[in-house]
Amino acid sequence: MGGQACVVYGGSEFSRDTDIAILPETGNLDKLRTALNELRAEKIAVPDLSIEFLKKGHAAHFRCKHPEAMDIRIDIMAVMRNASSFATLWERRTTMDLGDGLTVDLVSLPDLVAIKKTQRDKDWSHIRRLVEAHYLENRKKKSSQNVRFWFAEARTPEILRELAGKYPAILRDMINKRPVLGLLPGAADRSLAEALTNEEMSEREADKQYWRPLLEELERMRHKRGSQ
Amino acid sequence: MTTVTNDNFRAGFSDAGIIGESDEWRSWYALTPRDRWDASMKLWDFYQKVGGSLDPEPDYQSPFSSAWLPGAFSTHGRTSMRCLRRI
Repeated sequence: MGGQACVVYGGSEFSRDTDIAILPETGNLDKLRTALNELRAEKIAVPDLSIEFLKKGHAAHFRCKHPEAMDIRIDIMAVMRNASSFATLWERRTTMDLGDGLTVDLVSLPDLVAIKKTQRDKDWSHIRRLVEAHYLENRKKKSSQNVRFWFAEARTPEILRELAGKYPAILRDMINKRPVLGLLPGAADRSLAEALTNEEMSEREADKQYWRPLLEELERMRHKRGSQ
Repeated sequence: MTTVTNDNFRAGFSDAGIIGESDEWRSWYALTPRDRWDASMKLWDFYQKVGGSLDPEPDYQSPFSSAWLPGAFSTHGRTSMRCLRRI
């Protein structure tokens, strides 16, 4: 998930770290620790890698010291805001065949878009580009599932207007799920842009609220470690 | 589970100029997943050759940012202290 998935789906060009979602179970964690040991990964922040913290929504952060992966950072999470359970994420995953026998399992695009609705500027530009890339790739295919996804997640006014013109019935069905769609098809550019911005701000605020107790807990952990 | 290959990607791509993105981004969208992966790996190789840092960029919007602030792992674990000279 994260930046590497964004690259493959077309939403960004480069990422300096690797974000992994895992199933927070004892056996699975043991396998992960073995893999981290092989990478000579060192913990570089609180909290410790544990089922308890992962299930709360914390991330475990590592930096690899193996010569072939020197200084690469790995962030590990199991619970993300807006994300379904790992089992559901896994079931819905996309396996990208990158050719030459190389395959990679990525969180599905709709799940990635949901996870990226954070308080960070960069994640919102990623979302816009992820959906743009998917739209350009699939707009000839006329899949109602895709049309619904685009209506639900597109942040590009031109795409929303084209969809509104082509699929008025689906638009009417989707308005209850995403109020900004109620401005289509005739809204002025400025009104649509403002509505999209307000939608984004609402999600950002929700993300800040979600992280507040987690950050407070991180701060307590740091102070406790500092006083030992 | 969905499986995506380079072949089924190429068949579907359509850019009629609808999106007002730069030519650079539209070219990126037109690449296959494998091409993007390969291009990103080239960027990665270049980045490492020029000594690019793998530390996270300062991102004070990130909930993880306090883990990366200067002094987060400083002397005695307290952000207010710096080691000036070891005796």
